[in-house]
Amino acid sequence: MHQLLMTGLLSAALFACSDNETKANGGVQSPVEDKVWYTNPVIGGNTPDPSVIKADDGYFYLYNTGGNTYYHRSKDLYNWEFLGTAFTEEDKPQWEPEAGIWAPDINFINGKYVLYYSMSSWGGGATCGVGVAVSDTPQGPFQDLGKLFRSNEIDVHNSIDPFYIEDNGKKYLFWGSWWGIWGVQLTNDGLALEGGIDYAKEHKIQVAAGTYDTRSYEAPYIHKRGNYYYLFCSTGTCCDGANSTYQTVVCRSENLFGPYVTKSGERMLDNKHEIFIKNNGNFIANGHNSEIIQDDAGHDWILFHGYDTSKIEEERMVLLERVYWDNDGWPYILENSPSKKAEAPFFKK
Amino acid sequence: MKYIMAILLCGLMVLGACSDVEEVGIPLPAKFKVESDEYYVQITNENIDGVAFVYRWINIEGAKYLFTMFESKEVDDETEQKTVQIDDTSILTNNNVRELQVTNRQLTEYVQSLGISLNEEEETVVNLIMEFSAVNAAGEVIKQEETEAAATATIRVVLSRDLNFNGLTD
Repeated sequence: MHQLLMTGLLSAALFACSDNETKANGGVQSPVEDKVWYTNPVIGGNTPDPSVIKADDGYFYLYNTGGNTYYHRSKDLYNWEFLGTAFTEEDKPQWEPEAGIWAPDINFINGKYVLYYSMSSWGGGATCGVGVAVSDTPQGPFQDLGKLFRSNEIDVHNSIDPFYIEDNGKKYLFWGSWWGIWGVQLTNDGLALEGGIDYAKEHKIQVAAGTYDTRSYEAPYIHKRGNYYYLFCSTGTCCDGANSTYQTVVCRSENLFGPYVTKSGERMLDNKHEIFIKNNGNFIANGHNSEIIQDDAGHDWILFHGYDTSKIEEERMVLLERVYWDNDGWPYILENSPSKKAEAPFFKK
Repeated sequence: MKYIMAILLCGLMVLGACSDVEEVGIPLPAKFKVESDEYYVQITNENIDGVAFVYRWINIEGAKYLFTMFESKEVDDETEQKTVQIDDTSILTNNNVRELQVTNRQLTEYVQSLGISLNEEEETVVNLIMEFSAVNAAGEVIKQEETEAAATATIRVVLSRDLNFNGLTD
């Protein structure tokens, strides 16, 4: 009996409040759907020269110049987690004395993660060069296989900034900085020069001009889309703080080895190009782009470095931007310059 | 005796349970607040039906909300300002938060009604200002602890070079 009475009294207590609860929440609806944003930079503080790959564990891995090659991972291209360095202090490349590891280029070749890298120091254009390292996982440790070539061996001064591409079943390496952008064929495993250094020196092909100063190009990246190869490069001064003039440019060709031309047909070999990413009030010196990555909505994205004008002292940072393609098949980003805040890439959970 | 105790206990529970909503005289929230005073929107043909932004603020009981959008520019040393009124289609959501969703299509229509034309060669950038106020039945801006329930947000709108005003269809 008393249980029945208690139940009745508790019900009365809840009922007594129900009117007020309804009034307090009257007309309450579920929150409306907002878009998902990201804010540039997506990685801060001194992280230049990004190269990115989607690994078989579902993460994107981004490697950049710094220390023994810093790397980060992300599920969505804009939230990045710092994981460490690709090389350990003991196992890092050492074939160029007093040199740093610059401008890594990450790839997945024949079941291995293959990292091409530059070894250089400021003013070391004669003996700097390109090396290669491999790992079973994107998190390393990467085993250095040594140099592919030095500038004075391949006969291209300032041989840095490697970029690997596979085309029609063959593997190629492009590279260069101010002394022209060049390409050579690699062996089937991608770990050596096809035919050796003398053959490569003889058969290397130039695809973009070298002016022996920062008016020409460095940091090549080639993207195949439809019938065209798009050669992205950077031009200008990269690392002069607020005075940097670096920007990203592009030309295209129907052949991997060119000629790469502008919209009006002028050749990149003649130092002509279309501007792809220029400076704005928020970000300057925007260049040395990564690979183009497609999200699950079919949208293309690109990462690159730039200085945030509000904190130049924090050095170059990684920025993310959506790549659009116009009706004539030319790439562009909105306003031809980085956004402060924009709609984020879409990836299924 | 046990029954009398139980009845008294439940009586206390009734009063206790209701006390938080019966209390009067404390404004909720103590101060007027909006989520952000700065928005960035990029509009292309592709995302024209997407969300431009969601304007969120703490609801004020009994208030009516007014929204005005305008672009301010200097013409012949005079400030020229055309305005467009935005209908209040806000909804009350959880935790007394009110939300007004503005779509890219609506924002594009506001831009059009302000007489702004597009550049086909490059992006058109429009810096809009949205003024917002909560008013009482007499049309006066509501004050909370001497703070006016009014706010201004800047909206940086980038209209893609591929956007075609005439081609916009529902």
